[in-house]
Amino acid sequence: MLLTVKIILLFSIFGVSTLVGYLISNRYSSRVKELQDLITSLELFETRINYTYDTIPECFQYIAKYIEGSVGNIFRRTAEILEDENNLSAGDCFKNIIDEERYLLNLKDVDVETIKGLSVSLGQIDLDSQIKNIRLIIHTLNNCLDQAEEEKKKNFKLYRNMGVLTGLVLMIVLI
Amino acid sequence: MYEKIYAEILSFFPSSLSEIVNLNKNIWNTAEEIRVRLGQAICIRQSSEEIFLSKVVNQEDMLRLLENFSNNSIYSVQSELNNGFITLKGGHRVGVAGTSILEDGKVKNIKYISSLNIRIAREMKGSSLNVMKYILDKNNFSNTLIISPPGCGKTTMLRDIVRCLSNGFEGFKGNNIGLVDERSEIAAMYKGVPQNDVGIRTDVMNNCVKHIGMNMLIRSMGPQIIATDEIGGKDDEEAIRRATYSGIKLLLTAHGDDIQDISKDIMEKKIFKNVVVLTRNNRPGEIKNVYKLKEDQYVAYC
Repeated sequence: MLLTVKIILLFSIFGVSTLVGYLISNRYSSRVKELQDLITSLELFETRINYTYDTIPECFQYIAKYIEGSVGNIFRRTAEILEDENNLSAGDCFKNIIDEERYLLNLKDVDVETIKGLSVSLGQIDLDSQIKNIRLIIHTLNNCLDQAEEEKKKNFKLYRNMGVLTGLVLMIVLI
Repeated sequence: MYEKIYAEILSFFPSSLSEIVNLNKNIWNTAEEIRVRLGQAICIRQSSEEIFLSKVVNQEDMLRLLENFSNNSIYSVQSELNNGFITLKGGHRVGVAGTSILEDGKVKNIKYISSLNIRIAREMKGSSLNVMKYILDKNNFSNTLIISPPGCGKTTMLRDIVRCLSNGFEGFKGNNIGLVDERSEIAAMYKGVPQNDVGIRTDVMNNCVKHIGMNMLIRSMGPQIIATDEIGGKDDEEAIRRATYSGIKLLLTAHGDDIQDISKDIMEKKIFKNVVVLTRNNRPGEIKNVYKLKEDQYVAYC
């Protein structure tokens, strides 16, 4: 009986350790995915305003149709609130939603601050200035993406293996 | 009427200007304009009186209101804004005044927006009934020009005539109409759907310069009649000439007090068989004169 409990405990420790390693490593790949989603979203936004002159709620709803997950959710929620709210600028609304969704994102602070740059004068300036702002943010996000891919390459396997190995070491020590 | 005006205009007012929403609903039955001026109280103009609210409009209110009218996307109405107005769902027109920024002699932007004039659009179905008998001759429609000074109901009249000619009127069979709506006032298109009834056989070229829109419709839509508002430029004359050579009938309007105010280049060609002059002595859309082309002369008919 005691042996059975001990075996279950050891395997639980191994499982938890592996899971922690998996979760940490997953943050690196999720950050890359979210940055790619943000860049695609902004490219869609630029195309829509440039060729169809769609309003921000229309553009953001369109983006949310193609971009899933937390990033798509930011654009969908911003569009929904802007449709009903008359006392909030598009920029303030977008910034507030990012703050609210921040805990669901795997982005670093530098990424979040970069995407918040879109809120500056969002919807308050002419088309050329709006597009310049979007392109500047895409450029900065691409730099963040390069850095994120490098970190993923370095750390993804490391943390995943470290979780498994730590679990094994703990099991051996506790036997 | 209040529900329509609330949905299309008043709901855009921010909470700092909510006083306007709480006014007696009956006011909106006769309201013609809402004037919003920076540093002044909002004024609602009815046909015979003005109502001033108490709240003074500040810069933030003005920007918020303009952003709300543009659905938080000023870039999407930039080209309209540079012409001095934007059109809302329902065909209501928001005139804008401020400091203009010029580039190559054209307005590139308007900054420090100081005044908004919201003109409440009303669709007056049946307003053309008096005119139809003059412009239809044995159930045939001939080129018609409607002339009036601003504010006399030219656009309302044009819209109703378009609806009648498109749907069919008494013995007249409905025709395919190409409508060039340069300022979105006639059909009041919103996301591709006309907000005003312009008839079942009407194709609308919205937000398009008149002569370009007319040429595009001639090439692409095969209209039997082309209708547009407020002609006057040299380019318009060329487009009119092209339309008549293509065998298309015309229904146009122009600014003026009477027939002599219209450009000689247009009138001397005797393109129009009917010329209707409107006034607003008693009410907008009242007929002042109807001229018919007889033996190369315009003869007053009534």
